[in-house]
Amino acid sequence: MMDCSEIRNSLSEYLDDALDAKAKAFADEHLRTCPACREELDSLKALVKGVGSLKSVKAPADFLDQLHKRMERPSKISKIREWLFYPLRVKIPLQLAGAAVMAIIIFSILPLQQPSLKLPSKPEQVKEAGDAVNYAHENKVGKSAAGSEAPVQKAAPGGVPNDKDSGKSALRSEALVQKAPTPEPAEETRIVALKLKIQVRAKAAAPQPSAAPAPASPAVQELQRQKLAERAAPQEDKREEVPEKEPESVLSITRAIEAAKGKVLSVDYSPQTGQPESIQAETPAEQLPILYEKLRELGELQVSPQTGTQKDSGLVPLRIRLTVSP
Amino acid sequence: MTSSGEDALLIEAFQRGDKKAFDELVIRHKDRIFNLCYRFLGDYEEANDSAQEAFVKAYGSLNTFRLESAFSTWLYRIAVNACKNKLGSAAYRAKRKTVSLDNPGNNEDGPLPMEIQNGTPSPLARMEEKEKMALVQRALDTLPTEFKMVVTLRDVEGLSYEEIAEVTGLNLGTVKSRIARARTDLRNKLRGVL
Repeated sequence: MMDCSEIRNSLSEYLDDALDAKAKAFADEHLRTCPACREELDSLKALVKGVGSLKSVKAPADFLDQLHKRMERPSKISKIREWLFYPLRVKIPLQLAGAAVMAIIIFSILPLQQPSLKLPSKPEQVKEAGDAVNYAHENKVGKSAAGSEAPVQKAAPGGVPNDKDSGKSALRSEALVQKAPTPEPAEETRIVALKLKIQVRAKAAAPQPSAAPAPASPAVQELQRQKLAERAAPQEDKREEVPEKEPESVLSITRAIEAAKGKVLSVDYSPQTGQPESIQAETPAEQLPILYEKLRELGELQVSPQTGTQKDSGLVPLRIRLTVSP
Repeated sequence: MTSSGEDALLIEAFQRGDKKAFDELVIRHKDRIFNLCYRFLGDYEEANDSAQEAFVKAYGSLNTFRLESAFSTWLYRIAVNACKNKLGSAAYRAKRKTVSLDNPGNNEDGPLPMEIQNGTPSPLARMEEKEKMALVQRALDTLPTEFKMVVTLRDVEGLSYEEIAEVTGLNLGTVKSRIARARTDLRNKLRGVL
């Protein structure tokens, strides 16, 4: 036995004789015994009759004429085409003349802008540094890979003049002690590779006891203070682990740089391993041999041959790449 | 010859290049198409515009029409789409909005009543036939588009469920359930009137 709600759901189809034989038989059976559903059916029948008796509204007598006018009316596209091209004899030559003028203007403006578009030809080392910038851009999530940007950009003036990200990247720099004085345009960053004898520890690793009493230089203290400040800053990424101290390798190199009257600018860590990757520093040109000697005490030092213009005095920017002895 | 057979002859003539045959097709179908548009849109001018638009579109596509399906069904489909576009147009909605607030406007049956009574029988039940029909049209107008379309095609135009499915592109089950729902809604709105 079907209940009333099921029957009522099928009443519309029942009216249209669209139910299958079985459903219709059930409905008939139910309707015979249920006055409420019969009433429901009657009201639906009245509704259908009422809607069906709506007078058929005829189209206006001039419907066909209106339609002819409408079809004769040029479409929007043909109106635009007409506006653009007709009369052909006048508009085509005008458009060609306009195009020629535009071409002349474009070709006369383009060469003026080209010098700024072109990158100056860079010596090999700076290109290498440039690659590091690219790497830094690709690894924005990294801790401080972008920290190497500022000095590199200074070393290659005009290389990436409109880099909007450099500001943000500089914010991420963990250990930018102070801004390097604006270097002279011809100045080149010296790039040296240092294969450390001592183990390079990941930044997050616990510091060795010997690191604690290390005579922390003002620069290193500043590094540490900045780290603490970063950790305290609310907007700082919480996932970023900040160690208590710099790894011993960094401290040793810092001491070497300071012994050569130089200054550490920033320390870059690998975003993957957390190990120090490179150190940006500057040192007086005349102190370079001393610095190299000190660094050789720490590990195997490779000094890239310099190709650019070099200074014999004043501060020289320096980039020390760190690798570990296998 | 059947009505659809005559349509087929006219279409073949049109497709052979006799453009005048289209006028004959318009004359044969304009009133049904106009009525559908009128019942669907509830506005004479808008209905005229949509019906004209439907015939313009049909004229543009008639060369590709295949005689496998009925011309009237095909034409209904074009008209339904024209009406839907009209319903979606900002101009139409703005017009309906301004009409519906205080002045329900007029139709060919006379002035439209201010409101539809719900529920129990009322003096409206004694209204003259003309006014009653105006109320039915008003009730139709208040239905959501998808319900109004199917119930208009079924109860005003008298199309079968299958034809409605073809015109609207809905499946048969959806057509049946929408018609049932639309009728129940209308019945509730017009209780005491019909």
